[in-house]
Amino acid sequence: MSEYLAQTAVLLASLWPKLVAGFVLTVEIAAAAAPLALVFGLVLLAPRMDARAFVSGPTVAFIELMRNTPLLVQIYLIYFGLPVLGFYPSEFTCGVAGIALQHGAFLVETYRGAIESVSTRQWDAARAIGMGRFTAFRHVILPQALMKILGPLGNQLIVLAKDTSLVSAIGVMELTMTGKLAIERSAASAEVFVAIALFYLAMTTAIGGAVRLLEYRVAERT
Amino acid sequence: MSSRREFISKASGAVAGAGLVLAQAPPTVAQQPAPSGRSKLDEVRARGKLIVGVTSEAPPFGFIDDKGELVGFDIDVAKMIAKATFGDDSKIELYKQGFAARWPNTQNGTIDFGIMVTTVYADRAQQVAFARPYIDSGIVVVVKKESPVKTIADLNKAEYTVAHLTAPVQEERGKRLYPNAKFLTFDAISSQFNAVKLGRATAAQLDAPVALYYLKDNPDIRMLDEWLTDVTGNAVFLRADDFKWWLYLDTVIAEMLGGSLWTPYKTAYKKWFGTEPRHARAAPATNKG
Amino acid sequence: MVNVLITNLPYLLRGAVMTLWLALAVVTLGTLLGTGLGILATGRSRIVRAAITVYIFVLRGIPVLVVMFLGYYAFPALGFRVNAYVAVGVAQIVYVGAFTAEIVRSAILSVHPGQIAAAKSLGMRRGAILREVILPQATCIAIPPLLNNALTAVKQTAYASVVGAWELTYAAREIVERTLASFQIFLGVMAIYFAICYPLSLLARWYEKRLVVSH
Repeated sequence: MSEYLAQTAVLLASLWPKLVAGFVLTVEIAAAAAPLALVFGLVLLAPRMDARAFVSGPTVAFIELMRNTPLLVQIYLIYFGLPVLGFYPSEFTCGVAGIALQHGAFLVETYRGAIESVSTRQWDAARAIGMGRFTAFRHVILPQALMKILGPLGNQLIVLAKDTSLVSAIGVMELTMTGKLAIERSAASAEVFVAIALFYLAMTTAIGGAVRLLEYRVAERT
Repeated sequence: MSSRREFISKASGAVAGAGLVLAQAPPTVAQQPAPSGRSKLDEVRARGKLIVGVTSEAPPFGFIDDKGELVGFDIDVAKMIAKATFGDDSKIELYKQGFAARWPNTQNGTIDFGIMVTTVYADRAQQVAFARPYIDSGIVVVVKKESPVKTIADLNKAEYTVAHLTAPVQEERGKRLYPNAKFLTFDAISSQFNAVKLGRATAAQLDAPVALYYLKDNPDIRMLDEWLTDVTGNAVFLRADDFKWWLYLDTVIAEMLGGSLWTPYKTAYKKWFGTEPRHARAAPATNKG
Repeated sequence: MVNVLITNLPYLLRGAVMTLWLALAVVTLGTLLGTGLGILATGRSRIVRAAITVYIFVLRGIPVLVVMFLGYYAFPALGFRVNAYVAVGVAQIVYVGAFTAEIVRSAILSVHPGQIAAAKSLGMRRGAILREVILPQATCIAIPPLLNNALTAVKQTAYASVVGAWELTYAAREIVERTLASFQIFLGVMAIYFAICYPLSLLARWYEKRLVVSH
């Protein structure tokens, strides 16, 4: 038993630099994709809530497409499809783009839900005391929507961080891919993936903790 | 505040849980002898069929044809082994697996042996055992027809990208022969080939027979004259510490290469590669003067 | 150009059938598992509640792909020879179970405590309270997120292809290996997934609307 633990420890120690390098790349992918997703969601928000069908229609169609097909297939499509159109982005870029597109589409609904859930009474009250539309939005609706959004946003961020593992399918050397290569060299496949799981757990726990902290700070302010 | 306590208790619980899981798993890091000391050969004969690891993503060795059937040279050789063992080439289960799962599935006994475009290298022989090679191979480089690259040395430039498969040996070869170029690693041989075809990579490392197969339908790609390796062998791989099983499989392969199983081997080879293989022995003695 | 897709459609559809089977097994068993665990998580035993909390926390923090790899390699490591579907399927069921448990648990806990207090003061026993008061309301609240959860689970069956279980995405890769026509094939496969998932999506949306109306 102790021999087994010793052997596993030695194996993991030798893999450590590669695992850390993979982990760093995972964080880089998430750090690149998250702001893009947030912004993309905002960009889609206006057309989504537009009253005119020819504006909201295609937007809804795109969002539905993103929500009803697996991210893996979307990534494959971007990766294989863009060169046909003449663009040759790196596999890192393709992965980030795929993740940002899908998560941006999900975020539109989150944004929409938060805004619509701030009671219309607040809106009416703000207008009643003479606030302009934009001022009302900025000072009354938005802060409340932001509070409501923090939780779901945090969850979405965690899902995004986990989705980076899919980018291994197109050859990016992030954490999961590092695992697949590591088992070529050693027999301890299950052990390597347990170590990888722990890395991901550390990352998602850190994100969850940070979001919780942020929620407290924002709650204290309002 | 209680949320922070919750958080800490959850985190320590997770760590404890992971520790528990690790503690339960039996030793797999070191190679274990066959569980009951039984050789795969006995197990296979008792079972009545072979379980063979194959790939469905490497034409012409193992791939899905346009009727949706799993076919290829590796598939045919596997069936020949089944026929030699049981007299019936249908007593076989072709177990599709990814390249990353080759050694683990052999070591943990999921497959009896694997036959999937696998070249023999010394470091691999530390993980699994190889029977003698059933076909010659070698690693070649493919580039687009109009590419200025003519030799391996030409490839060693920072603006070039080379597509590799998820096999550490390819990366090492790359570091050794063209360290200035960038590498892209893919899960699938077609992705490598497509990368060159679509211009994402300048070149790709491929097995020679696989390259020849793709080149047939893709005249816009060519092969460099200079090979990356010497002539190498593709072989069947199996669990490393099972001499009885290795001896059996090696004997069967030997018979294919130049003995009692030569004819079906020759037929399959000709079907997939268009030429006849070389008989392992000198020309057989005749009784004609 | 579309020819490639049409010629290989029968093979891809076989893959789609496999996806459906996998999805059915995972969603059904995962939801059952999660529902049971979710109910237990509101029970009286602190140890059970803590254990389930840890389970949910760990599984929600790891990518489903890694869980599937763990399943694929852990079974043989522990001495069990199972086929790829069982290994990947069990991994997914455990994963879906964690998310389901969390949904069911919050749904149960969100039933107004005043109702439970009222039921207790009427002399109802625990089992009856659960059955008559909590579960009907919790079910109503839980169904939309559970349907969304099911939708996610169906999409996640695609990842089984990366680990080595044959289904639609694996079939797509095999065809691409032979034909190199990646764009057409993956586009076609996206359409097939859409056809499978969109009805489920609509169902979830419809249920949500019903919920809003009835409250």
